[in-house]
Amino acid sequence: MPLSSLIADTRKAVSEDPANAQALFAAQGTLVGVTEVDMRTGEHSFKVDEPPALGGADVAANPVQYALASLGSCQAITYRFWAEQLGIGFDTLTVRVEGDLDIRGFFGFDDSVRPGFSAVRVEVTVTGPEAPGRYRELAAAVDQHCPVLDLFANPVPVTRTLAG
Amino acid sequence: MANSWRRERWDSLRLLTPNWQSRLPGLRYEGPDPDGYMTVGEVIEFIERFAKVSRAPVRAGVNVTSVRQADDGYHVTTSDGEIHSRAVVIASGACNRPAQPPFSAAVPASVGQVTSFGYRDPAQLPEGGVLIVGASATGVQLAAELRRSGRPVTVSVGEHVRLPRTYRGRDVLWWMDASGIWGQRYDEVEDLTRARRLPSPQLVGTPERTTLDLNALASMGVELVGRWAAVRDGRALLSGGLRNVFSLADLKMERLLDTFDEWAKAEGYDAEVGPPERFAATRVPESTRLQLDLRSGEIATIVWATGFRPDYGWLHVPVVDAKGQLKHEGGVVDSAGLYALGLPVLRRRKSTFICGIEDDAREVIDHLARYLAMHW
Repeated sequence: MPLSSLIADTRKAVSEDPANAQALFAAQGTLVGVTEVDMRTGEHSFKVDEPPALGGADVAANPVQYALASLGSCQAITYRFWAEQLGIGFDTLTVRVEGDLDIRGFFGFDDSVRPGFSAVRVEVTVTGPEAPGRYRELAAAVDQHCPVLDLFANPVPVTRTLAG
Repeated sequence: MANSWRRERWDSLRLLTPNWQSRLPGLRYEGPDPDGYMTVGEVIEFIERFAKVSRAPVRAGVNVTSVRQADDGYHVTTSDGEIHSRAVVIASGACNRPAQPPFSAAVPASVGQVTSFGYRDPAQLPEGGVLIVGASATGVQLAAELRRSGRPVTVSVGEHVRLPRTYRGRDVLWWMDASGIWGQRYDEVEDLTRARRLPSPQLVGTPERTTLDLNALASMGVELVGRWAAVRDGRALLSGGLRNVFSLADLKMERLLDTFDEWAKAEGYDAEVGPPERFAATRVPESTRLQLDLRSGEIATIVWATGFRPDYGWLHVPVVDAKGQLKHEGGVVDSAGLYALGLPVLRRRKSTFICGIEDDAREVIDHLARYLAMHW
């Protein structure tokens, strides 16, 4: 289905009943090696590991790499959707995401160091026939609506339970 | 009369609109300072004068406690007796109560809290740091005033509307009016819900006509931090997306100035006004604090400048939606004989400005008059 129809249908469904807008996503996994984890989400399965420097065999990307990939891909997808909504055409789109991480946080070598990224930089390259101002508008709309960017930039309530 | 001006505004407040824009039917500003901005006292006088000039039958000091439907109109219960009326115009505005985020309840008791309704002047607050939440007109004005009082000031910035006070030598609100943007009708506005929720622009009315944007605040030594999202363990958690919020506001201002320039060129104003200007991007600090420890004593007072809500608790007619907003079509409310005036973008973008009420009122009262003529 073309995106424009999909967006219109979704808008209709949600205005009929806001409950239609609520989605639940889930993922589950098992530690199968020293740092190797088998993850499953929906119908998709993949592995996560660490490089040797962090104890793993590098059979797959590590969690923070997946996190950056998640942000980069979410940005790209949000560009697609918002280019459609704003009527802005583009030819190519690439994203590069970088994050600075001080490993002392993870290892607990220094309590004042946060375990996660202290800074993240997203570099988007868009080519297309429109004026630069239009792509700046598109970027502003994407930054307002990208789910993973929101997840990175704003606090999220997280609860953790323990069973066994 | 003019109750909110008497009781719910701070001492140094002036109108955002220049005096020459103070025009009501039969009453215009005719003072010596048309390009200046009225003080609260002057606004109260202006409204009182209008009551005399228009000879409206005002019953002052009377509180309406309930409006209910009756067979042929409405029962209005007041502190001074019942009124039975075939039609009612709700003109209580959209700013009856300050809006405060729910997490304000989790702020430690050691930190003072005040809203824009309760704030009068810096002397009222204890010494020590102030955290101002919100960077719209109220937020930036109070930030500047409190910073000048010598206190450390931090402003938590969410979405905001950035405007220069003057553009190409004219008041920015002259442009809004002259270019026709303010006259844009509600049924022509692309996203009406959004337009009705726009925060008041970062403007202040001063004799110097200074621009009070975030760069100006930063130059005064005000600390800017991201939107306040939650309280956890006595700490305020702030957004890391401040840069994006700045770019968005800058972009919108740029688009508006482009619109002004296009209009000036098309209508032949280019010669009369100064050359086009563009303003420096909002400066982003190298790093911004993502948390504030509310238990450390650094912040003595929180000033909530997070907007307002209407209060329709007295309106016992099913015309209020799930979000507490009145259901109306250009001021014609969803109940026969019931009308509203003075709500944001009621019929035009200028609906809530003093110069915008007349056009809206003529159209709404027209509808009301026809309604009365058909139902007597």
